[in-house]
Amino acid sequence: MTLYLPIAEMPVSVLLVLAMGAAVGLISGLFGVGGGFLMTPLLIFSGIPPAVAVASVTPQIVASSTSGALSYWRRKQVDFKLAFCLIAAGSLGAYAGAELFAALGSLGQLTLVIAICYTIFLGTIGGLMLNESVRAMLRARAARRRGEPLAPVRRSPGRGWIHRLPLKVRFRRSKLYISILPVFGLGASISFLGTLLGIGGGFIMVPALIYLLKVPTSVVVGTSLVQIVGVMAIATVSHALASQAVDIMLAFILMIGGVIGAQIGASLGQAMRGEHLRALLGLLVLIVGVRFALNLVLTPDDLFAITTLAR
Amino acid sequence: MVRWLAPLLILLAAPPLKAETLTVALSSNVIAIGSNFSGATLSLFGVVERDANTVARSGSYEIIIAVRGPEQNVLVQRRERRFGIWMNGKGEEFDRMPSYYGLFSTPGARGLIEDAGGPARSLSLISVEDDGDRRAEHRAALAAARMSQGLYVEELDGVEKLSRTFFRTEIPLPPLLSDGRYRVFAFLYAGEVNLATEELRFDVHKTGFEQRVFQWSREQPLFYGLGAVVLALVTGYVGGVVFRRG
Repeated sequence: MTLYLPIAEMPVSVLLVLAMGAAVGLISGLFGVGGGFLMTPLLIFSGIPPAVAVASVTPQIVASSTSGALSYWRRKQVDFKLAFCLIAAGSLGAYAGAELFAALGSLGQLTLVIAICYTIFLGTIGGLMLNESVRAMLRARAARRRGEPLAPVRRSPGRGWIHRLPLKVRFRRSKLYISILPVFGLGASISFLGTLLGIGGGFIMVPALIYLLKVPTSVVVGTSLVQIVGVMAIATVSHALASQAVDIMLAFILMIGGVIGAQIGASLGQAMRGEHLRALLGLLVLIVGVRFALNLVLTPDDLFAITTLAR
Repeated sequence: MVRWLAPLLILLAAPPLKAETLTVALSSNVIAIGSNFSGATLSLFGVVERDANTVARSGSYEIIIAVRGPEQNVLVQRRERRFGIWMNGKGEEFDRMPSYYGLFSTPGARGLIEDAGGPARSLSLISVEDDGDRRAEHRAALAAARMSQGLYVEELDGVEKLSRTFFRTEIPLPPLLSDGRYRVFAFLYAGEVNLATEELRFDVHKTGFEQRVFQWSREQPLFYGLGAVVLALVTGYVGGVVFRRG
């Protein structure tokens, strides 16, 4: 069954797109991530123009983060003041990202920039995740062999330079009294990258909130989800204005697939150990990064790139 | 007054020798792109009309049909390896290139199109490759890419003659079709002489839902974006409610 996409201006197989949405949804439910970093590359590799892929995945991320954000809200595990600050800063980043995205598109360099960013970004994050989780697994095994209970990894109490910055604000829900500057910097930079690359950025936001800002783990996921919904909503509108590449049909099919897949993934995830999940996720992120790297390094089949400019 | 009108009437009444006329028609004037669009085929029929006063000819008629889609500006960039990675080099911009180009002819017209001095050479797709332009390579790459997508078609035996004067051809339109006005030119040749030219038009446009979505995204991008967000929020919320466990 094929469906003609009105903005991408091409027919696609509905079942294929639905399956991709469900597969990524399953992974996102399994690992508790948004899945944009897989969805966008999958669409690009299957022949959707990169501009349409990135711009249409942004509303899909809104949909896949909404139900999670609501359930954390019901459990009162959201710091709304922090989320609001991150979104406010994020709106600047999203606007800049969408403008740069449209400008690169008309220069014919969008595909290259997306590929380089994905390579660097996913390669680094995937490597770090894999490294961290493999170490955790080895530690756990060594501890079991010695017959000791697993000692929690000690973290530095964290009175670094970030906590000496001026313009301090109190975030009551997170029990924090920190400068607004790193909050704004984090919000703006992650949403800039997210808008440019079609990713929610939860898998960077969550560790950044924990390790840099020392946000308590009880509110970090909920806050990050609310931030993703807000920023990706702004990114969707920015893309619709700047490049007009948001394909509502494509996004809707992805949403349906994603919602279904996420439920299956979430129940599968209950049965797996944390460090194993993180290792698998790290590996997956790394593979996508390597795939982009190969695209950059290997001789392309077609030695010419053709871009249709606005009529 | 009647005195000098009379010779004029006699002059008019004496039938001059006329060239043939060409009449062509398309099977449809509108191609609608709906949700299930996956390409289409248009049929073109034509007849060479001659009457008692038409010049007698010994050779056969040859027909050439050229179809031009709406024009686009296209950027063609050669991929170059720099710092170990492949990137798009400095591009050549081609203005007003047809988004679709189809060339169909009777087999006998091949020489008119392909020979070096052929009178219809400018219609050919191949002619773009050796026009001495420094951008020739980029142009050829564009043509090759469009051909592989079925957007540039050359079928020099694509016009079928059903009789000496009656012919038909099929114009294949691929799924990746741009919407807009398409112009069809039909040329009638006898030997190297272009006896008649006819022009037809057809329109390709999105219909129904596809068209409304497209127009909405172009005319009211702000509300289109907000609409996409609302759709996402509702889908996410409903999905969460439907699948909530326990």
